[in-house]
Amino acid sequence: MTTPPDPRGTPLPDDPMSSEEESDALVSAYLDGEVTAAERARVEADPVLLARLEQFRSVRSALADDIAAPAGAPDRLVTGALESYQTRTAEAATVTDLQTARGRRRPPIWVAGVAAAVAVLALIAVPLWMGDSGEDQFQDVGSALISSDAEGSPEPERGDADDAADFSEDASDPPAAAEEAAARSSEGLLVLVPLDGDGADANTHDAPADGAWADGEMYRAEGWPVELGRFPDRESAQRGVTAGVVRALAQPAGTDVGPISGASPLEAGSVHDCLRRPPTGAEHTGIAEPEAPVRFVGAFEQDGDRRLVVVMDLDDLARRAADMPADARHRVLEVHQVSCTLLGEQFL
Amino acid sequence: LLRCHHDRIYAVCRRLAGNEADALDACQEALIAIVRGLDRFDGRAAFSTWAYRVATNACLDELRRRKRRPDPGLPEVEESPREPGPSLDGQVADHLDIDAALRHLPEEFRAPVVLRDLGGLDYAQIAEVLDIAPGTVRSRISRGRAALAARLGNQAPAAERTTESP
Repeated sequence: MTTPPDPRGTPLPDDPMSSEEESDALVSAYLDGEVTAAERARVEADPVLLARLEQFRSVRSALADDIAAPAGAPDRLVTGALESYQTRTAEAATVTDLQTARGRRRPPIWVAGVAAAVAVLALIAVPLWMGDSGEDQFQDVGSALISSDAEGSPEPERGDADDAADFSEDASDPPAAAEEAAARSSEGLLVLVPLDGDGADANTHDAPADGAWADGEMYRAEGWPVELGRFPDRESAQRGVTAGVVRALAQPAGTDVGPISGASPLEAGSVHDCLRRPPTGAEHTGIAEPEAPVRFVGAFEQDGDRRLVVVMDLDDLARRAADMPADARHRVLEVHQVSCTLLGEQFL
Repeated sequence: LLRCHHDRIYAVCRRLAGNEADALDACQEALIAIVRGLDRFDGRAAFSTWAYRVATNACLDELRRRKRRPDPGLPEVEESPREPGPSLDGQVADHLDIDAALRHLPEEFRAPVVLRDLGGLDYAQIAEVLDIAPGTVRSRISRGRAALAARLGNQAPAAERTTESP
């Protein structure tokens, strides 16, 4: 971005600020709570700066004055935005059987990609699954998969999420050639998990009568969620779920790999939002993002509670957008009742 | 989500646009942009930060489009210089003053000030929304506020504002 003109009409000096501008910058930062303790003390000890502070406070107050939207406008604006979106997507919104959709939608590169991914997964998973020596690594992957209890455990802030992703790098270490092949394999990404209160099939939805489903096709994926078992505690769930997920992903017949969509914008937003702040009153019902290939959905019970684990493929764009490790293959979510937790981006 | 954030988004649009009619149009464009862009929100930033980024860009785009179109019906409002006054509070009661003052403030300064004082975003968030460095945010907010204070007739004489600090 280029240097803008000075708001008072004179050229803006690049460097340094005048002493007056420096004082203003200090006072302004003080007003915003963006000062150090020393800077704070300096402002509070200087009556001239304090007087300037009051002027800036008045400006702030003036900005907030009389800016309420006219009566009725909020509803009109929100409705207008939603109608615009629904109009744009209404024609494409259908419900299609996954088996039917698979035959006509998946481009050849996707088939090749999945095959490559499965090959890599098999390379990684089979030795881990079959060999005793793999047990520890399984546990590591399990830690990344479900390292935190979803209950009362909101999505970590950025640093924590990065930690989760970093952890995944230790989980497995595929050969370079296989990794390169897999890097070409992933396509799309999305998040979204439906979980009915009674634990019904998470991937079969009836289209709402009001046509609120948005964005493209919604697939009925038979066989999901895969039942991964019942576990008495977190530790055993870690082992069992991880093993089940890895085993499922290693299946060559990939019966349920495909995009799942079908959430309304608000529902999609609520799930996106829950990645950081699990809401307490909202229910997540649907898997959004029309082209997101959900790689796997499993269900398990821990302490009598039913939970889902969802694995989505990542593509290069998603990795770059979210600043994920370049070798991340999947995004893994655990869903429990109305909260979902991003467990990390990793390879499995 | 839209209803939760609509008020502050409208407020930002209102001050960026400078009048209610343009603000409503800009806010509508912003909300549409948010809805259509939801699938690009990756959850890394707070939803509010992302929404402000989308809204700010949509609002500014809308205003730029309007600026390029001829507008024969609306005469330019010229701000007459004010005498320095002891109190700003009385003067800013008329919100036309702040609109006029904002209109004279270049966009590069207006947006950070509005995002800070109305959006409640911190410097890091504003930097992310506007794609500028946090240090630049600090200086632009400061200069923007100083310009607004001056426009609103509250600019103290420079001699009075010289601090004892170096």
